[in-house]
Amino acid sequence: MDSPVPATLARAPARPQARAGEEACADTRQDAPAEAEPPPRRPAAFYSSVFAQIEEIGWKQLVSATGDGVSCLTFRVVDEPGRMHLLEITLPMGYPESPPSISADVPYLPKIHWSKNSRLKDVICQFQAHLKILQEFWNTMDEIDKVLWIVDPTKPSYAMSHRRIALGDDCYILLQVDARKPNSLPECRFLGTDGKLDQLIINWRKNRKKWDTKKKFHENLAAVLDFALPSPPSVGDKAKDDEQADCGICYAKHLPVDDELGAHSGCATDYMCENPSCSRAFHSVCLRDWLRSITTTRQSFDVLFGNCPYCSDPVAVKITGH
Amino acid sequence: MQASRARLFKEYKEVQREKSADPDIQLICDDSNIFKWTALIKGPSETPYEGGVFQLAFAIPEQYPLLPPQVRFLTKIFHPNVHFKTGEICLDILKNAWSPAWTLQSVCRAIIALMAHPEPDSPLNCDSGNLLRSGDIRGYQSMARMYTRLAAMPKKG
Repeated sequence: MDSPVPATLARAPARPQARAGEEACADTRQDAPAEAEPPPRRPAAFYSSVFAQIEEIGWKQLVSATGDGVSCLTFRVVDEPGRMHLLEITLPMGYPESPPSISADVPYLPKIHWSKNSRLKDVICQFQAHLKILQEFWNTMDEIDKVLWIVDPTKPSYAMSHRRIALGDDCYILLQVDARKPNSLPECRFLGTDGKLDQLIINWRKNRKKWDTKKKFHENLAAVLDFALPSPPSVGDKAKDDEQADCGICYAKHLPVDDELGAHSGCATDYMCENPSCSRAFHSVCLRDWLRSITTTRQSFDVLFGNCPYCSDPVAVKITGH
Repeated sequence: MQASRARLFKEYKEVQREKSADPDIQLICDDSNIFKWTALIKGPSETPYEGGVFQLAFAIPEQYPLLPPQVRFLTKIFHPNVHFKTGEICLDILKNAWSPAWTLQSVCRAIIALMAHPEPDSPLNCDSGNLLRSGDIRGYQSMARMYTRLAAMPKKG
């Protein structure tokens, strides 16, 4: 008789819990339709209007359309010299009363002029005009990349306005070019070994006023630094060039720019060991200094005879200047 | 001065890059003076120096690499070619046989080789040299091992 009573009591509490659960489910169900409401708010006219505008621009230029069907459009835009750009246009919920937003791989974005009567083609036209303005910047960067020895970035994007340029002897200049005034004096920082760097920094501070916006960028840079800027290593022979170009004694590709070195100032390696299995490169100045510092060197008129520091084969260096 | 500094800077970069490649040698450049370096080298295996870590001090002249670096042991070592008190090393490449082809890293390698192959005919440590020249290999190894334990091994706390 006692056992049935507890069973009944146990059942009673279960029912209220179930009801609470049902209410919770009901609440969730009521919320779900609310979350789904925004998509239907796009009127049918929106889609037909967007499609018509895409047709106006040209379907070939449309790269992708994502979001709720067509809220995020990516177009291919080619500028006059032939650079290919991707322009992403995002249509907000309030479109066309609210202006679309854009993004692209450019150093800075244009301000889009928009009214509710504007069309997507107007956005693309404004972007093309913006690309036209940026041509001067990209021409300057292209020339820098072509003429100077760029260490970083190795594959610059269109948006990048910084370059780390090798000056030789483990010295570098890090430039930040103003994309709005690309031929103006850039911001710069110097990186590398102290001795040579000091002179470059002094030159930069002294000569920066001489920067001439009408001259080419790299010409200005060479003039302000008062320094012969090294050319980029040829891509094909890059590995070989890196190995052979370093002097086996001072480990630098170029001698420092120094009046004491006279004609050899800043020059590359100009002597190579004749042993084919050695082929070590040297600056003749460094090799001469080494041969002069040891007792086994022999001299005949203006030529020093000795042995290669690496393989001990015979070497001969002319004494010039002094 | 400029050339030696630039070369040392490149050697420093190379040392950083090759850190894991040569576990027997650890080269450290002074924070404020690129002409001062220290090195920690492991005693070669199958020698009485095995298990020891020896500290070297490098003083690099301004004319480097036309002149060799000056290297000496900071850790006491019983070796015929190392002066017991000063740590001076008798090694031909650090004197008349020097060449700019050597680097600080390869100098360390040469010193490790010297530890494995002592040359008793030109001793800086006469006791050690005499033991070897008289053929008392066991005596030399015993003394060398003792000093390795005393000076070159971390003390058991």
